[in-house]
Amino acid sequence: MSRHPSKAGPDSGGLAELRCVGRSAPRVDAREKTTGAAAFLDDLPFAGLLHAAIHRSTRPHALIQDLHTQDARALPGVVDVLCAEQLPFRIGECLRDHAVLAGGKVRYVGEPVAVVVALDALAARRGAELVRPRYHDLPAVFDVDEAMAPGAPLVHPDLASYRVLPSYHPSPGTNVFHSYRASRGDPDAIFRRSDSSRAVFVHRGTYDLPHIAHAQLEPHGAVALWTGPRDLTTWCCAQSPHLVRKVLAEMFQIPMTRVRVVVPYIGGGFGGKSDTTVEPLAAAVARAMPGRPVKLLLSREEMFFGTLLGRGCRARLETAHDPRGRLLAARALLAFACGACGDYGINVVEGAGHVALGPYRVPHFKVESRAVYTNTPFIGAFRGYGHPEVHWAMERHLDHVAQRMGLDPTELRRINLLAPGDEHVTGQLVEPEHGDLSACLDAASSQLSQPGLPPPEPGWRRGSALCPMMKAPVMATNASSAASLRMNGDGTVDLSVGGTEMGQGSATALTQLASQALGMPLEKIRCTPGVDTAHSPYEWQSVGSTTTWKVGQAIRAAASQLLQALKTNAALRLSVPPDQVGWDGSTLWDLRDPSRRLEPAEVALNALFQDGSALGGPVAGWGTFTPSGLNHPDANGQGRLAAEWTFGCQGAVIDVDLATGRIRVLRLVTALDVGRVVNPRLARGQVVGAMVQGLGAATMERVIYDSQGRIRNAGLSDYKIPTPKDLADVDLRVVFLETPFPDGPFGARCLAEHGLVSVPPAIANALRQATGLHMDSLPITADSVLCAMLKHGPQPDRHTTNP
Amino acid sequence: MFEPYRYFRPSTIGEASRLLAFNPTAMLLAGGTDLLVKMRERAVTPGAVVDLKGIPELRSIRRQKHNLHLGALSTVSDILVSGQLAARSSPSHAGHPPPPSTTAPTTGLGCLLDAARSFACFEIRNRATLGGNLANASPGADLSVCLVALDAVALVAGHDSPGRRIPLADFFRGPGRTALEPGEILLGVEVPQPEELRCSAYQRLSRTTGMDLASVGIAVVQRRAPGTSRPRISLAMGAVAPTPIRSPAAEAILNAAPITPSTAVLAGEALTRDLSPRASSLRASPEYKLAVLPHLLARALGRMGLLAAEHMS
Repeated sequence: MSRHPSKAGPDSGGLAELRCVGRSAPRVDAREKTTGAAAFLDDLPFAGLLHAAIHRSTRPHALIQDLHTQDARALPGVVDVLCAEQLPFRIGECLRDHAVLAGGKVRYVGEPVAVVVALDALAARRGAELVRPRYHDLPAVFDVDEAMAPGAPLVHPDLASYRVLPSYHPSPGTNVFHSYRASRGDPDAIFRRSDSSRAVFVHRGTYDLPHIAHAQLEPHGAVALWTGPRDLTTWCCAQSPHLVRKVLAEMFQIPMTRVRVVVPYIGGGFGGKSDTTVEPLAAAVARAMPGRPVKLLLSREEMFFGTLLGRGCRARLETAHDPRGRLLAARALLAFACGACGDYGINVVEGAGHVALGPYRVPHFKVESRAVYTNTPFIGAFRGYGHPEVHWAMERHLDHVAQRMGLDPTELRRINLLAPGDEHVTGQLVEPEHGDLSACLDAASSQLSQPGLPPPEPGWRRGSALCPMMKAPVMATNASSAASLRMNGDGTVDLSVGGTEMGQGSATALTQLASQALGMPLEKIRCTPGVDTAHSPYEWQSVGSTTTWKVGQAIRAAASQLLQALKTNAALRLSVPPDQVGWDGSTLWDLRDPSRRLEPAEVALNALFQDGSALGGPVAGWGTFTPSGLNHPDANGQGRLAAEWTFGCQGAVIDVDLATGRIRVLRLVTALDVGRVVNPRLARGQVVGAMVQGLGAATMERVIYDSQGRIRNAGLSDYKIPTPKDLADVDLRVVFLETPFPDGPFGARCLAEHGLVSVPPAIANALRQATGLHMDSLPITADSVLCAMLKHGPQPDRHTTNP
Repeated sequence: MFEPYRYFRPSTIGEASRLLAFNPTAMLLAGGTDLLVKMRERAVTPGAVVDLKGIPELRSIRRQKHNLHLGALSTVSDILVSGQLAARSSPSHAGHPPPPSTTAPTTGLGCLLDAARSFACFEIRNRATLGGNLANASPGADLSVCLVALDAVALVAGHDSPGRRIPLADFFRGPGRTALEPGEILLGVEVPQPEELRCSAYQRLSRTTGMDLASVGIAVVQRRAPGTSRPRISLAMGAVAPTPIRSPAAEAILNAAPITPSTAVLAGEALTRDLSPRASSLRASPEYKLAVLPHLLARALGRMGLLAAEHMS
C-alpha cells in the first residue's frame, strides 16, 4: 500500500497508495477557532462557581513564622483562607519535592503561601493581598555555580527524606538533586596528551542560557469540583490529562475511577502545561468547598512565576581535536539552575545528558548533566527539552574551535557528524533508518545560499552559519498510547484519543492517519475535540513531539480492528466468509459476486436481515502502541533511552548594524528528516513556529531577576517575544527529507519541537562570521552586541547613516 | 481585575473640572491605554473615572494664526493622518506607514510623523491620545520628546483658576509626574509658529521591530525665524533622563557654524557629556544609550537632508 515497507500496514484491501497522508488537509478545528466557537477553560460556564486567588511569597528564602489571615477572612465575599496547615500536600512523580502550598518555609518569590476562596474573583484577589505572613529571611542562592559551591544555603535540607524513583540520584546535603553521567574511553588521557603534543588541539568554553518563559496565549487554570468525599472532577488546560488524573488520585488517595479530568481546547502549551501546574492546588482547595466548583486562573504576570519556566543552563565544554579538526575527546558539565522544585526539570536535565555532545561522533568522553536547586521559580519542559541547551553550547563551542584552528565551520561539522554505525552518548547505535544527517546539512546549505537577499545596507555587515541538530523524545520507558475508532449508524467514524490538541494540529494529523488507515474519506471521520479521562483512551503524555507518532501508531492498530469488525458484519449479512469481503473505503462487496454490495452504514451497528433478525454488533476498533525496548540507564548512563531520533540542520543569514548592534535576521533555514510528512502545511507551520520561538530565544527572551530573586519583567511589555513585525522580512525556509521510520505511522517521525533547537547558535555563529564577536550567553540583544563591540571591536561606526 | 469605580462622561470641560474637583480620587480617562493597564495591575485604584471622550472639542488638530493646535484627545492615528500633516508628507506615507528610517523627505512636523509611526501598533495608535501620552509623563514617550524639541506649550484648564500655559519643557517633572495641579486638565498643546519649521526628524531604537517602547530616542527640529539669516536647530532626547530633555550644548554647536560631519561629531559628543541614564532600565543599558545617541543624531540630521550620507562615513 505505501511506498515503503511498514511493520503494521493497514488492511490493504483495495488501497493502492497514500491518499490522505501527505496532503495539506485544512485544520479540523479551523472554523471553531476562527469564529470563536471553540471553548477554552475560561469560557466554560459553571453554576455556583467560587474563585481562588493565591497569596505568593515575596521572599526568595525565608521561614514563615506567622501567617495573618484574619483581615482577609473579614473581607466581604471571602469564603475561606487556606494554607499549608489545611492543605499539607506534597507531590512529585520522580522526586516528591513539591509542596502545593509552602509550609514552614518559602523557597522562591512567587511560591504559593495561602489561597483565598471568594464569591467573586475580585474579592479573592483583594483577600490574597490582605494575607500577611511574617518571615525570617534565610540566605538565598540564585546562581547555579553558587548553588553548587560547598557551604551553599540548602534549598531543600530534607532532600534525603523525599521519595525518589530508582533511576534518579539526589545528593542530600547539597543542592544537587540529580545527575546523569556517562563516559566512554579515556578522555582524560587525551587531554593530558595535549599538554605535550601539538597534534592535539584543545578548547574550553562556558555557555549560558537564561530562564525563559513559554508565553502561551492562554493562561494556566483549573476548575475543580468535589461531588462527594471521593469524587473529583477537574477541568483544566493540561497537556497530559491522564497524568494529572494519576497525580490527583495519588495525592488524595482515591481510586482513579473517582478522578475525572476534562480538557477542552488548549491555547498553547510548548511544554509549559505538561506535568501538572495549577491542578493539584485547585483540587486541594476545592476539597475544602465540597459541592462547589472552584476556579483558579492565573494572570499573565503569574504565568511567569506561578507555573514553570524553561532552560537556565550553564554548560562547560572541553574538546580535543586532531589537526584536521576531528573530535578526539570531550568533557562536558551541564549545570541547570532548576529553581526551588526539582520534579519538573529533572527529566530535562536527564534528557540533555543523553545528547550532551550534539550530533557528533566523539570517541572518548565524559559528560555530566546536573540538576541544581536555586531560590527561583522552577524550570520544566520547554520546547526542545534539553536539546537547545546542548546545541547552544556545542555549536557555539565548535564555532570557537573553527575560528581558532582556521577551519571552515561547516566542514568542521561535516567531518564530525554522527553517521550510521556510530554511537550516541547513551551507547545507542545510529542506524540508517534514523535519518540522513549529512543530507540535511547539504539541503540546509543549499537553501541558505539561495539568491534573493538584498545586499547589506551601508554600515551593516552580513554573516551566515549552519548548525546541525538532532532531537529525541525524553519519556518514560512505558509511554503508551491508545486510540478508539467507533463506526456510527450512518457510516461515519468517531476517533477518540487521549493525546491533547493544544494548537499543534494533532487532531488534524490524527484524523488524516485514521482516514489513511481505514481507507475512508477524511470527511467521514471526526476526532472528538478535547479529552475526558472518563471516556478518552489512555495517553501517557502529549509531550516530546510524540503525539502524531505514538497515537498514530495506535490509530493504525485500531483501524485494522475496526475493518475486521466491519467485514465480519458484512460477511454475516452477505453469508460469505469474512475473507471474502472486499472493501474500497466506501463500499463492501462479495469478492465472488461483486454485484452484491453494501454501504458501511448498513452494517455499522450489526448485520440486520430482512426478517428483522440481527447478528453481530457495533463496529469499533481499539488500538494501542508502546515504544518498544526502552529501559533505564545503567550506572554509566548507557541504555536504550531514546525510541526515536530526528536529524536536521538549521542555518541563518543575518545583517548586523555596526552602529547600533541591531541584528536583522534575513533568512532562517531548517532541513529536517521527518520520515514522512503527514500534512505539509501543518508540518511547516509547526517547524516555522519553532523557528520563530528560537529567534525569540536567540535575540530577545530572558527572565530578568533583581538581587532578591524577584522577576522584573513578568509580563509581555518587558518580556519580549517576536511579533509579526519582527518576522515581516525574514525568509523562513523549511525542507523535509523523508527517510521512512519503520516504527512510525506510514514512516512519520517527530518534528514539533525541532525547528527551535539550533536557531540560537546559527544566529550567534552568523554574527561571529559578520563581526568576529563570540557571544556565548543568550539572548543576543542589540545592547549586548554593541557593548561587546565597544569592548572587543569591531568598533561601532558612530556616524554612519543607514538610509 | 478592576476595583469598582464610578464612571462619569462629562460633555464640557467645565463639567469635567468640577467632577475632578469634587472627587478627590478621580482620574481622567482618555484612550485608556495607560490608565486601564495600571488599573488592571491595581497600581492605581481610582474611586472615579472621568472619561473625557464626551468632549468633542478636545479632539482636534487645527492651524491657528500663530500656532498649530493639537487637542489632548487627538489620537496618535489622528496625528498621522491629519490634513495639516499628511498634506505635506510624501504620498507613500498613506495607508501602510513605512518604517521611520525611510528616506522620504521630512517636513517641518516630520518628527511627529516619525514618532507616530513608531508608536505601538495600529490598534493602540487608534486609541492612545496625545494628552494621555503627555500626562503619563514617561521619560521616553515618543510624542513628548518631539514636542519638547518643537518648543510646544501645554494648555491647561483649572477648576477655580483661569487656564495656564506651560512650556512643555517645564511640564514634565519626572517619571509619571507633571506640573498639573490637582483638578487641572490638559487641553492640548500648541506648536508655535509652524510656518517657521523647515524640517524635523525623530529617530529611536527599541528592543524589537515589533511593538515596543523606545529604548532611546532623539528629535531634531530646524526652524528659521523671519528676518534671521540662519535656521536654528533644536533637539530633545528621550529615555536618557527622568524627563525628555533638550541639549543646549549640542544645539549650540550645531547652531554656531554650518553643519558638517565634524560639527555633527562634536554635537554627538556634547549630547552625551552630562548624561547619566539610570542603570535599572529593562530596555537598554546606560552604555548602550550613550553609544547610540550620537549615531541617532547623525541619522536624524541625515534624514533631514542636513548631513549628506556620503559625508558621514
